[in-house]
Amino acid sequence: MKFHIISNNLGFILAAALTTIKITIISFLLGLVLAVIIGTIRYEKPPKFLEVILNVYIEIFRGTPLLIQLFFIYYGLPTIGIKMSSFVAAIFGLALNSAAYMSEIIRAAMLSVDKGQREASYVLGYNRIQSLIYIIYPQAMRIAIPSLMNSFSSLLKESSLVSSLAITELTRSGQLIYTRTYRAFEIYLTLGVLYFCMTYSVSLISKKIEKKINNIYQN
Amino acid sequence: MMDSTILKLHKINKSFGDLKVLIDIDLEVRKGEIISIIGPSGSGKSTLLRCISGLEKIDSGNINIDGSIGMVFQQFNLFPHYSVVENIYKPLTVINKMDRKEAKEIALNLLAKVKLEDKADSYPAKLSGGQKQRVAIARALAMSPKIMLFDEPTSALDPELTLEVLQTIKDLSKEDMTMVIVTHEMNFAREVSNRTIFMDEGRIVEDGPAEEVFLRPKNNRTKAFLKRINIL
Repeated sequence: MKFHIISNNLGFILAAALTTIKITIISFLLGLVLAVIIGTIRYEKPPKFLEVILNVYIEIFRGTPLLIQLFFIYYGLPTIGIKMSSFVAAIFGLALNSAAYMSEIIRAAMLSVDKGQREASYVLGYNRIQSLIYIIYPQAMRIAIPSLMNSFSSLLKESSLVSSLAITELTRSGQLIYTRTYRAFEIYLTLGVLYFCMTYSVSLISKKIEKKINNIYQN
Repeated sequence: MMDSTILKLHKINKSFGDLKVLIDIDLEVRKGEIISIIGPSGSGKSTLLRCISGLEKIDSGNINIDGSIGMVFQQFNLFPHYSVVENIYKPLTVINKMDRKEAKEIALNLLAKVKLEDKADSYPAKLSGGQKQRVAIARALAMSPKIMLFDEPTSALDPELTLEVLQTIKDLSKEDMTMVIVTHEMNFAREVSNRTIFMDEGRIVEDGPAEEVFLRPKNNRTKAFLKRINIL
């Protein structure tokens, strides 16, 4: 066991872990905004063509490997004149991919809010937008939060794929150290532990949030 | 519209697919009137209220309303993420842009009126059905409606809880509030309303003073209905 390899490279690894966190949070937030917009449009029963476009988007991003999506965005799109840095491509790919899943979570959560809620708000004088913001979203979010936190954990793990766009996040930092040291056991064990610590923290935070929200309702 | 007419329906028709739910409904409601709508299930009573409140689009006809409408639902439909007092004052701050403090004061006064001031900070999940419905009534009143619609307000309640809700509605009737009440509580309908409408198969079959309709119905279908439920 040569764990001094890890301690010697600790600064490098932690900086890479920070990049992983940064990529995950930015693409999650971007994906969430997209997911709320898409989920809401589909909840509102849009015109047929819009429904079809959104369905196609969701099916494509859920039905193809994330790695292919990332390669296509970073290496493929420049062919038609769309160029971006590897970091932007990574964020873009992860956000679009996670939004495809999260939009369905949001829509399902909105649909699970009793339709009487909307009717009551309309009769009181809320317009559609006010009803969404003040009545539907708060209740839907409560239902969606556990699944969304799950999506966040998945995204954190899947972000390891952006190492293939030559972004030095956690996974790639390990690969780089490996090519110099050939100590796969120590390196990948460490990376695994770090990923686990991050996803486990997310699930702890998630439980706290759920508990807090449920407490409010049962006051 | 006549001076005192608050609501006027003219030849309202409404279908769900092939099913005609409302057929040529004409109705005029004057200020201060308390109208009970009775009739068998599926006769179109609730749909009529939902059309008046705008929750259902009518296929043809006109609805003229002088002022805003308050509606109380069978399933209460309180907002579970708001406390009792928030349920009543939030709509005022969102829709009327009223100052929070002022809105809250109105809410607390209304809560006192429905005798639930001690529940102001509770959440709906903690209330009984009867309490929920009284909060729902207060919430509707907060928007100062010209007319209150009640859609089977006690049908989802256990028998021992209906009384408190009926009492709340009775109290309102003494304040000159115009009300249209769809109900299966015949004794209540007879006691609280001054006008009763009997609906059957999408039509208004009989429309008259409550005592007349309950004691001396003119239409055979009304008679048959009241006999069936042991009123006549």
